[in-house]
Amino acid sequence: METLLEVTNLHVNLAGYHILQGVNLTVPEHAVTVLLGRNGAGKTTTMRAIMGYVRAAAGEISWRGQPLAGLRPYQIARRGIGYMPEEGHLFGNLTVQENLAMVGTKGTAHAARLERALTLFPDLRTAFARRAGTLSGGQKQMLGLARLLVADPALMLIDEPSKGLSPGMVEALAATLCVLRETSTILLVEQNFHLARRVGDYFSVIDEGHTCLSGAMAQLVERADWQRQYLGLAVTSGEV
Amino acid sequence: MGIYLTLALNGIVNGSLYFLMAAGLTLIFGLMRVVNFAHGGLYLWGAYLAAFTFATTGNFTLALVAGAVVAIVLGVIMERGLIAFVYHNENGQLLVTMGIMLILTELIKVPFGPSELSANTPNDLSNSWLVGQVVIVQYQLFMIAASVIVFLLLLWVLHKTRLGMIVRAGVYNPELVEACGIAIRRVFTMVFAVGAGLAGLAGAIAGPYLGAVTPTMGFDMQLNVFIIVVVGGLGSLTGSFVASMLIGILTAVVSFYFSSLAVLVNVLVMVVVLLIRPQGLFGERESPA
Repeated sequence: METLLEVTNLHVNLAGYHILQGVNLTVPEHAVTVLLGRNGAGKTTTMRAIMGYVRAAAGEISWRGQPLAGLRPYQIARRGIGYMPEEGHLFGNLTVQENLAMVGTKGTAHAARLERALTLFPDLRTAFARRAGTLSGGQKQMLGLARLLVADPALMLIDEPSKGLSPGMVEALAATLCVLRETSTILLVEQNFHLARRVGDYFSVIDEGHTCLSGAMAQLVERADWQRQYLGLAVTSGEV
Repeated sequence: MGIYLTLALNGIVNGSLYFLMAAGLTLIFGLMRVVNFAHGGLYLWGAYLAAFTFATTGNFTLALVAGAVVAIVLGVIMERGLIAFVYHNENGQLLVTMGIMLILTELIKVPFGPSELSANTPNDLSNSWLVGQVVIVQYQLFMIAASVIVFLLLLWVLHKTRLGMIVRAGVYNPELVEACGIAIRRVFTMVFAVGAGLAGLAGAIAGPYLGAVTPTMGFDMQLNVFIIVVVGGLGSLTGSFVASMLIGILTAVVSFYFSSLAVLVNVLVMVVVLLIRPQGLFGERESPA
């Protein structure tokens, strides 16, 4: 399995604080890697550093073996990395149709991907001409995912899509991510461990700015002691 | 009756000139949220270059192009060289653009001197007609037509083209535009250049209407144009157009009866509109993503 993205000993300083203090991460192709960790551990900063929104103070981020250092976010996106941020993942002043057109409008492949996205998220088809800012919380998340689907990047970075959703919506989201994982490579930041274990193939735990544990999701699911120690959970093995 | 029609016509002509300048400021201040107090300086340089070009070549079209181009060049230099460093810093924008405004106003005196420079109306646009009791001047009709064309063109670009969609998206969420693979900085520079060019074009058109260009004309115009953009609603072209006509007519009427009160009345209109409708006449309340 080819490694798409590799983060090696990443350090990031923000506003005088040493936020990331050695993050290591490997994202293999055709799999879902879940970035776990407590609030403020540095998960979102890691995603933003990969996208080029924040500059690395040290370490390396490489994409298909090539360093991404010094590239602007749009250049990184053009290399095949799609990003759905935790906050502000849509254009509230544009219609649903325009939001989806932001990643391109030409070609039969685009039309096919758009049709697939609208089939997966039928709510968006009925709200096609509505302003995105008027959608419900769940619909907004769907629109963010649909934009990624239409863009069809080699790697999707998805930052905490379940945040603020009702349990029912989280269930729908999990089903959607399970569909996406069949055809996409995903790096997912997620606090909801039930969702993470359901969709993830691999995991990486960040704690206080550095990577403290990585491996196959099945291993983490089996290790209640790791879940307690690194995620603050009290989940027993096999519980869903 | 004739006097009211004349005042109304003058007001619409004033409004047309205001809009030509306000259109650029709507893009720069209204959409991009850059408090550009140097907009009047771009208008000033456009006016001088156009007056000079027309005086030396006799070609009015070339004069209009010269006025717009010099403002575009100045605008791009401003945006890339200074304003790019103070995006999201309104105090910084205020200081930087005020400084640029002072420099542009003083710098124009180097090649053209501190006195006014005559700006003649081209012969092709110098006709006038008496309709009832109202004198209609051909150049005034040209100004009204120019503002309507600019208004419709900008509306079309912003709402019917992919570029316009990217601009609107970039104003709302520039980071996400970049995540879509689009170089938003270049788009912003282009928008700034278009806004600057419109200020230069407004100056070029204003010269013959005013009869002469002066180093203070940028300052004279700027306050009313800021009032228009705020009254119309930040980022709303339609709002700017309507507010331009409103302020234009109000200025014509008040100036006729109490010439010294025109600016005060315009400021009062802005205060009243903001009290009743803080987002301006056609502005929208910002909604979260």
